[in-house]
Amino acid sequence: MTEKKIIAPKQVRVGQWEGYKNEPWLKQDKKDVTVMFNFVERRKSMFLSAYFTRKGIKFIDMGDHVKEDVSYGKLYGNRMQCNPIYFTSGSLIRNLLKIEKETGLSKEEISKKYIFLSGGGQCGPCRYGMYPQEYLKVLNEAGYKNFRILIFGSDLGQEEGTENDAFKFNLIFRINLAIALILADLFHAAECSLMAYAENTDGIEDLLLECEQIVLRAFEKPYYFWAVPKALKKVNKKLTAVKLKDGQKPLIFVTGEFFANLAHNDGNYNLRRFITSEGCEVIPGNFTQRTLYDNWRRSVEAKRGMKYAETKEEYKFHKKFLKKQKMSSWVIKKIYNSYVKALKPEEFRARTEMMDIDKMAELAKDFYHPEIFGGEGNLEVAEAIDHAQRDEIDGFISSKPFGCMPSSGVSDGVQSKIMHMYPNLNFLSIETSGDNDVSILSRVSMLLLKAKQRRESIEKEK
Amino acid sequence: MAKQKELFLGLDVGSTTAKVVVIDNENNILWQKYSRHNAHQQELVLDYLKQIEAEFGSSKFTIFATGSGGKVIADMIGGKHIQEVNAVTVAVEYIHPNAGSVVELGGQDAKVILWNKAKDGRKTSISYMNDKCAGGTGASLDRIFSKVNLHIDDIQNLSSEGVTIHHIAAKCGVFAETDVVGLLKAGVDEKEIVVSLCAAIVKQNIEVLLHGNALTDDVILLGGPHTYFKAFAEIWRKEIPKLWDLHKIPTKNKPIEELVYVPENSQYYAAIGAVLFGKESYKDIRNNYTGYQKLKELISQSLSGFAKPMSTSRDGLVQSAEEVEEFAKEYRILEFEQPNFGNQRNIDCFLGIDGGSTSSKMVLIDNDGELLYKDYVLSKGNPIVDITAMFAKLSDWQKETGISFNVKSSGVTGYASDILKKAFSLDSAIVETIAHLKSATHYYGDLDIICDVGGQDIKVMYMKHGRVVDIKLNTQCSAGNGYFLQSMANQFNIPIEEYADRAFTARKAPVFNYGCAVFMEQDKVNFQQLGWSKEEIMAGLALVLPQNIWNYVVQETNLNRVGSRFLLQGGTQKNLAAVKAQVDFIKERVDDAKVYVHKYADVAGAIGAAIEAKNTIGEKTSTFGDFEAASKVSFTTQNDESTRCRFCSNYCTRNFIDIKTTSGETVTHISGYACDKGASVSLEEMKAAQAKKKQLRGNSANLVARSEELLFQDYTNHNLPNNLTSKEAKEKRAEIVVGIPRLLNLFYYAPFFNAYFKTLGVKDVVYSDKTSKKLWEEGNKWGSIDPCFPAKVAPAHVHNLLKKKNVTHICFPMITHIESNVQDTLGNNACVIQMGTPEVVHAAFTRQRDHFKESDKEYWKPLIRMDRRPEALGNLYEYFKDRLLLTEEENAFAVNAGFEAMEKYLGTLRDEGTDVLNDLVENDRIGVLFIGHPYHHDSGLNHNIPEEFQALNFPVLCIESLPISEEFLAPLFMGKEYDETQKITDVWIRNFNRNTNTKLWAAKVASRHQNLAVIDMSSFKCGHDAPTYSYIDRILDASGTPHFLFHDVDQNKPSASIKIRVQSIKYFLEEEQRLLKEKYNVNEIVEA
Repeated sequence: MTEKKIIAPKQVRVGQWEGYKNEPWLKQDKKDVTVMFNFVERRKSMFLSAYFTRKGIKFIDMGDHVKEDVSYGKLYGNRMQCNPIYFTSGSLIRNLLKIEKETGLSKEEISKKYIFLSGGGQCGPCRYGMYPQEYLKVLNEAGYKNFRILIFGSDLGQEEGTENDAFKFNLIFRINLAIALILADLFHAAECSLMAYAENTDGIEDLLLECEQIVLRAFEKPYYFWAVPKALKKVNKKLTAVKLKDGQKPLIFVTGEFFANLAHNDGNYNLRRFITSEGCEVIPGNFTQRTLYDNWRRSVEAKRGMKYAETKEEYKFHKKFLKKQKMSSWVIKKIYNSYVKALKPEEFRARTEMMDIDKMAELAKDFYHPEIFGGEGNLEVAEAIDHAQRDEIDGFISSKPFGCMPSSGVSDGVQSKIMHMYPNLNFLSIETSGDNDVSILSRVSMLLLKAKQRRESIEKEK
Repeated sequence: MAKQKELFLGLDVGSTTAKVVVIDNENNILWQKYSRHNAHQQELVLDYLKQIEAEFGSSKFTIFATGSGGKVIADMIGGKHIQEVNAVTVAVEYIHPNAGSVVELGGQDAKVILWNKAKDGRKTSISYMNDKCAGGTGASLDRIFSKVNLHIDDIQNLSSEGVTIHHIAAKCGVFAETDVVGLLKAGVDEKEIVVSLCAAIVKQNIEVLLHGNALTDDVILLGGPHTYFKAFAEIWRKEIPKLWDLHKIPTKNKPIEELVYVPENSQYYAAIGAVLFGKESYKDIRNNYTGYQKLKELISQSLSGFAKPMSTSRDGLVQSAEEVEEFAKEYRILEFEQPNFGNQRNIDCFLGIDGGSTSSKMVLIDNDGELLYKDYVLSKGNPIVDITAMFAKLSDWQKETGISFNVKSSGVTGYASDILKKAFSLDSAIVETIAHLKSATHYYGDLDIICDVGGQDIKVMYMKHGRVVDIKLNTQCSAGNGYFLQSMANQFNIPIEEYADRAFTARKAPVFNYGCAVFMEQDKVNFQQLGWSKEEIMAGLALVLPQNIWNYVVQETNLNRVGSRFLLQGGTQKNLAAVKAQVDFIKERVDDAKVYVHKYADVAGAIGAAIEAKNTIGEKTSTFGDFEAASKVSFTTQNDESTRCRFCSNYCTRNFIDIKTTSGETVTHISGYACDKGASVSLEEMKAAQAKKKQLRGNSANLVARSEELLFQDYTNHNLPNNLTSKEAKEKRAEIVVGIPRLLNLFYYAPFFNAYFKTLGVKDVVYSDKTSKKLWEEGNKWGSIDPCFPAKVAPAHVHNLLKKKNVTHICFPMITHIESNVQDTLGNNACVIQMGTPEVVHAAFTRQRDHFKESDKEYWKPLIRMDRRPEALGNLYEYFKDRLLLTEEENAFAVNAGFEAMEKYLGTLRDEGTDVLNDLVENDRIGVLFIGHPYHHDSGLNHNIPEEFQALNFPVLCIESLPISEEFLAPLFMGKEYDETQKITDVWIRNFNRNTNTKLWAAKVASRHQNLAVIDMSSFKCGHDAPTYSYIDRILDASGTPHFLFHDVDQNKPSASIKIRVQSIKYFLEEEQRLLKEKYNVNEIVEA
């Protein structure tokens, strides 16, 4: 270290920026504030709304992202961001402008009466970890000065906040969130099979909406823990009543970056629905799987913390953390499996299997080290190897936003080798930007043609 | 009978031609036609359909259409549209089952398709296509070939054998045209130009479209240019084997002509493929042909304008003649009226000259800055010729009027300012941005934006606190400049002067897609087809101009945030239609916008140069002679072997211009050199210039360069105690030479790894060469993805170690976390690209073959968390215990040596930083704090920008050179506890990324230290920096800290743009320094 004398500047510049304010939402104004949220696509936020209904908290479910959101995001956001940031921040602004128009409230009043609830990005190897920072910027630039945001992580075991907080990210909320995500996953799986195999697809969307309402009403009840499985059984009856075709359609696995994979709306050009409309079956991305991946990542970190702890306290801290993660995964799997048991998705050909992440990590480790915690980047390499080895699917699509750091910047590079190792894997990587749907979907058509040819030859051999 | 067969019709409507095939169910081609459509696509297709019906009857066809114009026509005749790449892929798979790859060049697009074959024979393909830019396509061919004086048959049959290749920028069709015009003016052989253009297009496609893949055989060349220009196939046959050699790809044992070829009927592949793809993919679509009646109606509706609703339309530029009148009153640039000089015959004045790339301008102003005289000419190729002619004209004018101007001082600006200053003995030279700023503020006061749109160049200057903080230039693409309006007027045979009047007559206009000017040509053709008039199309094009400027070139999605006072200038403002579009665009988006058009828009730069001349001459006498003498300046140019630069092994060409100046002496000006060594005539002169530069640099420190130097030194500081290592281990390690790539996190941790390996007793540690154009060009054929340049260059570094260095092992660590002085953060993560690049590189070199194994080199990629020392220790031990026969004790010893090396490196840098900061404070100087990631200290990545400031006598610091002691930080963060001075939670709550965190911390430090200005550098596609842009801006803005941006930096070194930026920044730094010195000479000093 330096021992040289340092001369201070003759004067210090004044007028320092103090950053954007994000004041806490306190109990005293709990009743006056409306919580706004949307999580990647409409089913997830719809099911989560049950929690707010039950609790009597005012809320606005902002539902699906639409193309227009990107323009709002770009208008107030930083340059060179990825389109999921523009979609998420833009949809918030679109909804606030709508409120402003409908209620006549000023921006200042809106900033006091509404609050935005969102996931905060869990790890940070990509821009995702910085989303809340961008929300603050976008809100302030759009004129909603000091608009508050409530940010939570995906960790079930995370601390709850202070006594005075109006809204607590307590265990009950987190379990409700997990349930909402699981229910959304199951309904997506149902949609994928029914739209691919129903003899008549005309009424399927309405049927699914009806079933969603049955489950939502059950989830809104105080004794939802029992009501939801019961509702799922009821849904099973309705869905199994749909007449399905036999045979196997070309089977397409869709994975990739979290948002581009799971948006199921304009956020990823309705990719899953496009594939189904072209006569194929999709294995959809599973949000619950992504949550379990986060737990897995935190567990690995905890194990490392224990292994290299320098003090007993440090060791204990990591051990406790690991225990929480294990418990969290156990709870999530338990709920998922019990709901699957109630819904019996296999009876209407829906695919809800989840993968073993330890096995996936092992598969990818020589190509993309599993401890490079790049979100889904290494997971998708493992999935490619797994599917190539099993050779059961007809097409593999990795979808990611333009400039996605873990996916475009790393896993695509690694996948170029996987493709050479397994030329049987009908692989396509697509980068979404929010507006180039025609050319992207054309590229998907090419993959689908190959998938159809493959399936046809397999069926012929049979 | 043919009529009873199931017939399929494949239609390919491209940007210049339309092709059709009729195919039966067994895929036999029964009928085919190919023709240029000359912008009459629909008529040609109608003609085809009539012929087909005549031949096969009008009964049942299944139609699949492809190509850029295929969608509209398919909708008219019941056809199904098929995407072109899909069509070509399927066609090639069917016709050439042995094909390994395809390169197709179209009029406006280029595609590459590559096949992978599984053991069971199934093939999968990947394809790459240009979708946003027409660079590297055939778009430029027709237009450029029309400029050379060769018959088209001769061009088609030209061979590339033995032809000298000249540099042409194929990145953008419009820029390529500029290069070709330059070569024509320089008298280069026209055949050489044609072949050079073909070679440039091939090179562009290899660099952009292949994504690190090799084209495997058979390589099929498709598309019009390949079919008709023999030179293309020859050039590909030379270039492709180089890729095979590099990637060690085995080929079939056949002559090259049978491995790379243009097949017969290649022009029909897309049409054939459309049918094959459609038949397979859409089995339920059959007999969809609905006849040509609707198409016929469309054509007649187009003629009468009824088909226009088929395209998106918008309101025209104006809705009434009165509106034009109103607008013109406020915005029309009035003709300059010379002041009435009355009886004055001798008038004192200041001369300003602007030597631009496409035009030359000259003004005289009086003592109050008012314009006395102006002249503007489109350049005749050499600015000296232009300016002497202008002086001759001025001299004649003086003689005619009897008025005599007395030039008290003279100034010059523009890209030719160096040569003009010399030739005409002018008093001062000033960078363009400052010239524009001076002229703008003289007439319009403080501004937020100056938007200068010329024929080819677009310059948008962002201003804050009276400083130019950022400049956006169109360096890679011509979209948005005035050239397109000019060329459209030419195509319509309308003089450019009448453009606005004609466009203002349109009340509706078609909506063009913004972006590449070449793609807009296709839109124009489509709109004409649908019956839009010339006037409406011209209005539509004017309306797209601001979108191209703000959305495409500047990429500013929210004009509101850049300010409210805009000044428009540059030659394009003479076109009132362009002005109307710009003014409306800005006013729609910016609250309380005030938009000015510079009343002397075309000579604004020259006025700025004259103002500078006036302000800086002081008591001195002008060096400028008189107009008569200036009009006699002459010169000769030489460009041959004798002028070639021989100061390094590159042997670059240069132009020597011997100028006989106004003072009668002859001076030699050198232009066209690649680096500053080339600016000297003789070796002695070059050495003297370099020594002077070195001396200049010696006056100020450059701690960015110093960091680079310190990082890659030898850090052997300890030897392992003798008893720790077994004989076997010693022997093994003594054979090992570790090669480490000089990039990414190694720009922080190189000392650690150097000391670690050296301490363990390896024979040597060597680094890859510095990042340079040469290193990049030698190794850039491996990358499969397109991340930020710091990661994209990684395969080139590993290639360098693999091929050029005598190493036994290559170690590219995956560093997940980096130590930091910033406290209380959510993490010290490296970004995932830094972590994962060693994996990407490994995949690239083991993809088709294991190049490491074949070179007998081992690749190490240990995953290490460096911010927790026990973990770093454990990670290294786990990884190397077997590889280096390592004991835990040895590992601990070496890790310790590594961290000691880090302390030594950082300590040295902070010591030197302290010296620099003390010097700044004591002498009231301004220093530049360069904030970027550690790898931006790589001179190949930062394009030597820090060195430029050092040479201008501004000391340069980097983040790592900032002291972190309480003694330094306490006075800056007045009243804060020491711990608080190391936190950023007040401004940046999501502080995961270590390098980003340190950038924000450094911004906080600089925003308090009045002797520091900031250069914020960031790489193109940096996902972690993007969210910080506005935050760093706010931190520095709040305290008025001078800060300047070098964002979106990539592998291209935009020398001209860097020069303009650096010179502009210099101006403001000098101003800041002047104020600082003034303050302490005059004012009372307030102790911090």
